[in-house]
Amino acid sequence: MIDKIVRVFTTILRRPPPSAERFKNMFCSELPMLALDLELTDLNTKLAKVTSIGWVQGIGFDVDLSSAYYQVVRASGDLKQSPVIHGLVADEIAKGQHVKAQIAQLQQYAQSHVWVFHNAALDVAVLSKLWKLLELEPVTITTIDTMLLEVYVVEKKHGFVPNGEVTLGQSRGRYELASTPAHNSLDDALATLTLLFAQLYSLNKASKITLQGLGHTGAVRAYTLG
Amino acid sequence: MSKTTDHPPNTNHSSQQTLSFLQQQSPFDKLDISTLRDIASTSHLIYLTTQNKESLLGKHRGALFLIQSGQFSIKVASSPIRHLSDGDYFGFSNLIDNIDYGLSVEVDSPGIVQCVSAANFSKGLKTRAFKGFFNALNADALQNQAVSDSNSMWLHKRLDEVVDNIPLCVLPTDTVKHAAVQMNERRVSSVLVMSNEVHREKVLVGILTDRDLRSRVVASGISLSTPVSEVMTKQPVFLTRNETIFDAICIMNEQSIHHLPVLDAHTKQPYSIITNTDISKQQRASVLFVIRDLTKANNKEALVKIALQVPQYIAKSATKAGDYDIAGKILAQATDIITRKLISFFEQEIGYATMPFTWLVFGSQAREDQTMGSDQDNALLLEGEPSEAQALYFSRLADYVCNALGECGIKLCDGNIMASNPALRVSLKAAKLESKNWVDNPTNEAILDFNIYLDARAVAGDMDLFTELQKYRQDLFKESSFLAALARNAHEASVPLSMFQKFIYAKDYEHKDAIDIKKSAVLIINNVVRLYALASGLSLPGTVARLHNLPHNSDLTLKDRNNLRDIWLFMNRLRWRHQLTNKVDNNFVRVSDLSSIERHQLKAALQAIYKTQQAVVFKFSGGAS
Repeated sequence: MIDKIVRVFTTILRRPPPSAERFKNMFCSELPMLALDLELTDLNTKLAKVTSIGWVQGIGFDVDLSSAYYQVVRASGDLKQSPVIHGLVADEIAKGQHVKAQIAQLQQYAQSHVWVFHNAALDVAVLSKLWKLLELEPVTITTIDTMLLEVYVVEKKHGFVPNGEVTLGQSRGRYELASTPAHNSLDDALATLTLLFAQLYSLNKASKITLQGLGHTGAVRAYTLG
Repeated sequence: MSKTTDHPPNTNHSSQQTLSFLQQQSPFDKLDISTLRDIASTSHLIYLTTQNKESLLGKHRGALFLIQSGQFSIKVASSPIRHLSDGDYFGFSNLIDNIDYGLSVEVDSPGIVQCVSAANFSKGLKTRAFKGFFNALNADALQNQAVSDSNSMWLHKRLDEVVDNIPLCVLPTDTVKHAAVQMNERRVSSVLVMSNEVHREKVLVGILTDRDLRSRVVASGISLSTPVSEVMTKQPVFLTRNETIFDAICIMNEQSIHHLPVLDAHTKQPYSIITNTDISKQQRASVLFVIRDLTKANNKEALVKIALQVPQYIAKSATKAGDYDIAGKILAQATDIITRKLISFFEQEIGYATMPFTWLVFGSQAREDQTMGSDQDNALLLEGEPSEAQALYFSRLADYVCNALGECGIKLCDGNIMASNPALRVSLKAAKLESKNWVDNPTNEAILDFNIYLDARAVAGDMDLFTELQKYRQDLFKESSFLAALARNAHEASVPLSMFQKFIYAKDYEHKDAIDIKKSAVLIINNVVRLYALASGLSLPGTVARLHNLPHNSDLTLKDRNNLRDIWLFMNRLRWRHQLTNKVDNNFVRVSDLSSIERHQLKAALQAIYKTQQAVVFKFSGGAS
């Protein structure tokens, strides 16, 4: 009986999420991607509030800038570092939309796109918290994390990852991509997506690598929001 | 994949980074912000690699491609391959000419390329500067609009482009009344007096002006039947039609005259007369008045005082880019006048030389492209071997003039190319022999030494000595082996561009993004143009003047000449602005100080210089470098 329960749980736990199942055998160059970035009031995900959100879509080494989305989010309370770091002042944030509107927009991409982050853990934790707060249906997303991909590349090359080597700017520099002004969520999302293109090309010039094939790098993960 | 159209394009959500990239990119920086936002929010960014280029370029066929990173070799139809990198464009020929030429792209290093749709490109074309930029790029021409728009370009105009009124001429034996009636009928204020020797060509012997009629005839109560020869100004100074308005202004200021005869350069027959009125119609550059002040100084101290103000005067007066075009000429003319003044002060104090001599200048002063950092390069050409006393006189004259020039702010020459150096006070015979030696042994080391002397000009003294030397050199310097050696030498300096047209910055300079505009651009053009000039037997030293005066059958086409002139003026502007803005006297222009369009122009200019350099080696040394 216990064995059976364990087997059932194991099966459930091992079962890839539906989106991942659909994407896993697709070549990375065929994957619809949504690069996403949140600007937060705090690095502690428990305290963090979203001040802005930006995303952009791409497929096959091609970013469609008409899909770009950027919104300042209305927030209250202690803004901590954000007014300085993110170039947003309290006034702008107060005038922003409620985060609910963005999450509702974002929901539609949860299954249709692979979400691309630079350091997914932080943003995903905040998104998941919001999902719960807004009482949305839990959803599993498939993500590629360009930071983890870069950790893999640097570690493979040098055996260790020196401090600060895998920031968005440092990583882009390694592929001779221009550094971008940090702390605008849309720009960071765009910079993340083009970084991923360069990383994918560097890993496999013929672009014949599937999402599953990319799994060994540790950069592909499924997360449940909510 | 239709996922990208899940929601309608939201034009408010343009990436700030894409927008600011466009705002810093010529000619997009000329478009209004709403057009730019449209472009930034509807373009595609592709990561172009060898493997995906066919599908991606196929997908975006008909777009304008703007490289953000990476290196690519582009070939359009039968044009030569262009090696491009960030900030460069391709695909514009198809759009401008509305013809699908086909585009062959080699990815040398993958990178991000922005695809601007044909519709957005068309919107951009409604802005004149945008259209002009791409038309010029398509025609492979330097964007020379800035140069031709210059306020001071007219000063570089040849006199025959400015005046063409046939001058009124009379004979020396004609009466004053006859001259006055003629002037009145033709409504002119001066008349040239031409000799009337039988069987000989007419020669200019004098000029008679309104003012002469008033002061020398009416006020003096002289009879109207007096021959013109008795009241005219004899042997007037004149210019030839190939010289420039600027030359005219300088002479008229220095000599305090209002009418200047213009003759044909070869036949010396009258071509026209240029007057103050002709000049004031166009003159706007007040900076020229400094020359007038210099001519009024009547002792060394006064001269030094005014001379030291010249740089500040230029810095203050040069407010528009075009003013820099004449700054070098003004500085050279000012140095000429200072030199002549100093020689006359010396003569007044010590006495005149007992042997004819010419004061020669070389390099930038001769070419009239001096800048703030230029030092003096001069010599004395003597009619013969001087006696001991004469040698002492010239030694003292040279010391006096060179030191005083130094006091006036014209630095002493580090290389000791100064008349105060005994080796640079030579007889005409020795100078001819020396020229022959250059031609017989044009080694690279020798060229480095004598190159500077190939741009020479006589500033004071007996001009005939220099004319004779130049005449001797004219044929000598046409020697093909000599020109081949000069061509190989001219090829040694390289423009600061990498194969992918990226700037190569000067080493050992405090700023990392500086280019030595003098060494790696201006001097190369000077060397190249000098070659064509020597081959054509042209003895003028100035680069722009040489380009204007090359014969029609020169191998340098008119288009190439105009292009080289524009490039030269552009480079000159960059270094003048650099010197005046940063208050320095070096030529290390920082790329970060340039506007986006200037960076494009600089690249295009350097590419053109490179091409010209290649052509010179091919023409003069049969391709061997």
